[in-house]
Amino acid sequence: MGSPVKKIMLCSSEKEIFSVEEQVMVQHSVIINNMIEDGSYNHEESKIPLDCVDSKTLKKVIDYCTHHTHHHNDNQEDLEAWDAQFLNVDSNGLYDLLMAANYLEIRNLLDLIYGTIKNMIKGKKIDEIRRIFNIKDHGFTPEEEEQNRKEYPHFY
Amino acid sequence: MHRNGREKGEGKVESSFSICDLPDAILQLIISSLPTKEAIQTSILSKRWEHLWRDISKIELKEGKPEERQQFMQFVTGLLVACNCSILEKFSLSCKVGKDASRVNEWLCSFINPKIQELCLHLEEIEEPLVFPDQLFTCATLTKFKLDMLHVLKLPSSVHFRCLRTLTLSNIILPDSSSAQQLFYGCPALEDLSLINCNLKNVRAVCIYSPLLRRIYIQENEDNMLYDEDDYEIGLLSDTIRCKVLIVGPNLKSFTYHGDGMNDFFLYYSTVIDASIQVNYVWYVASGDFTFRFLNMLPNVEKLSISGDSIEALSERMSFRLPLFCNLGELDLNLGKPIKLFNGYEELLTLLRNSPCLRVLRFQGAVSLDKRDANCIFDPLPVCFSTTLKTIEISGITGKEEELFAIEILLQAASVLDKLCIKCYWFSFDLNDKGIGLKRSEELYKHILKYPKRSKDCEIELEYS
Repeated sequence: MGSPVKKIMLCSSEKEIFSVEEQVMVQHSVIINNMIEDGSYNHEESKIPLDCVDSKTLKKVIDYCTHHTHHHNDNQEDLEAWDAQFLNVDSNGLYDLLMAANYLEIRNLLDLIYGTIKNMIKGKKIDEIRRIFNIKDHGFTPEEEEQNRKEYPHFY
Repeated sequence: MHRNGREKGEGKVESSFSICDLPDAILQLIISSLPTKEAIQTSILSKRWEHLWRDISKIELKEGKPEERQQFMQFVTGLLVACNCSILEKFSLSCKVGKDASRVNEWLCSFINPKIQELCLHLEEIEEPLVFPDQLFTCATLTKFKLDMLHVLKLPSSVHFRCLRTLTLSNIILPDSSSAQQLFYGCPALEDLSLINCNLKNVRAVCIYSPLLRRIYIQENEDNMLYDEDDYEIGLLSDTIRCKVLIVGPNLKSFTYHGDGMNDFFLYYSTVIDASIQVNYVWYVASGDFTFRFLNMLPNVEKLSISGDSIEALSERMSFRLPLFCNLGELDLNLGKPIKLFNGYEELLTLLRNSPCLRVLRFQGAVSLDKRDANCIFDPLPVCFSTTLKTIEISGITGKEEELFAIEILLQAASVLDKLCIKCYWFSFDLNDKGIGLKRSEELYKHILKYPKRSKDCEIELEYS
C-alpha cells in the first residue's frame, strides 16, 4: 500500500518504449510473468525487447491486458461487447495480434482470436473459406480435386 | 515472424491476411475448435491443410439417424485410423451401443489416451458391460468427465482422478457401497458434482468428501431409475434400498436437489449460500420430512429457490420448527400450479417470518389469495415486510380475482417495497393471438396501479413476453 505502481518497459520492433503496470502484464502474459518471477527482468535498466511486435499491435495488446485487469469484475455482456469492439480490426491486424498474443502467451486473448477465426470458417463452403483466407493455389491436382468433391459433396 | 508478401502502406487490400501463414500448431488449435466434421473437411482446403487436422486436440462424435448408423460406424472407425489419438485432449461420443459393444470398446480404448483432459460419453442401449480402459480411472490429466449410460459402472481396483474437477454421472448404476466409496475417494480435486438419476439402490451409504467441492447438483426421478417391485413396501420405497449420502464439503457454495426423494442426503459443515430444492410431491409425509431436512442443513443460505410442492409437503410437518435464515436475501418460489397464497401454505409464512433480511421475493407461477383468508395471513407480519423487502416479482398472472387480491394484499403489507414487477406471458392468455395477451396484461397493469400501497414510492412494472 502506498508504494508507487510498479512499471515495466516493453520495446516494440520499431524500438518504441511502452511503460506498463507490471501487474497488468504479469497477470496476462505467461512469458512476462516468468521473466519477473525468475528475476531476469531488472526494474532499473531492463526493457523487454519484442522484436516481432510492432508498436501499433503492442499498443493494442497492452490495451487488452489493461482493460481485462481493471474490468474483470464487469458483467460478462459488457466484457464481450468490449472484446468484440477490440477485435474489430482488419485481417492484418488480427494476424498481428494473434502472433503477438502467441509470442507473449496471453491465453485469454488467444482464445478470443481463435474463436473469431473459427467463426470465419464455421458453416462455410469451401470456396468461401478459400476466398476469406486468400487460398489462391490449393495445390491439388484436378484428379484429387475431383475425388475431394466426391467425398465431401456438401462442402462444395 | 513477419509474413511474406506483406506490403507496407497498404490501403485496403482485401483479405491479405492469409491463414496459411500461421504456424501449424496454431492452425491445429483453430481446427480443433470446429465441429469434428468441419475439422476433417479442412483437409481439402489446400495441400497445406491436407494433414493438419490429424493432430486435432478435440473430437466430438454424435450418432445421427438410425438409418445412417452404418455410415457412422464406418466414419468413426476410419477416423480412428486417420487421426493421431495419442494427443487428443477432449473426446466426446454419443451413440447407441446395441450389438456393437466390441467395436465401441475398441473406440474407447483408442480415443481415451492417458493424457485425455475432457471426456464426455453418452451411451445408449447397452446390452453387455462396456470395457473402459483401466488407465482411464487413474488418469492424472482428466479434469472433466461426463458419463451417461443406463448400466452398471464397473470400476477397476484402483480409482484415482488426480485432477478431476467436474464429474457428471447420469443414469449409471453403482454396483455396491465399496465401489461407490472408491469412486468418490478417488476424486480429491472435485469441484463440481452432478448426479442425475443415478441408481444407488445397491449402495447402503457413501461419503462424498472434497475440500474443493463448490457445487452439487442432484436429480432423481423415480420413473427413470429402474426400481423393481420388490423395492417397495406398501407403496413406499423400502428403507433398505435407500442410500445415505453424506456430503462433506467445507467450501460447498451451491446445492441443488430436484427429485422424488429416493435417497437420503446429509450435508455436513454446510456453507451453502445458493440452494434450489424441488422435492416432488410423492407422499405427503415423506416429502415433508425430506424437504425439512434439507432446509435444516442450509442455515447460511443467501439465495433459495423452492418449489410449491416442497412447501406443500413441508406443511404436513408443522410439528417441526423451521430454522432461522439470517442470511436469506432472495427467495424464489417455483410454483408449478397457482398456489393459494398461505392457505395450506402456512410453512411459507413461517419461512417468510424466519427470513428477517429478505430483500427479494419471487413468485414464479401465479399466486392467489382467497378473500376469506385475507384477515389471518399477515398476523403477525413477517419482519422483512417492514424492514428489508424491496422487490417482489410475480410471473404468470392472468388476472383472476384471487391473483389480483393477493397482489393487493402484498402491496398493503410491504411497507418498504421499492418495486413490484408483474410478468405476464402471452401463452397464459391466448395461444393463437399474442395481441390478446398484450391488451389484457395492460388492462391488468392499469388496474393494479390503482391499488393502495403501503410503500408510497413503490414502482410497479409490467413485463410482457
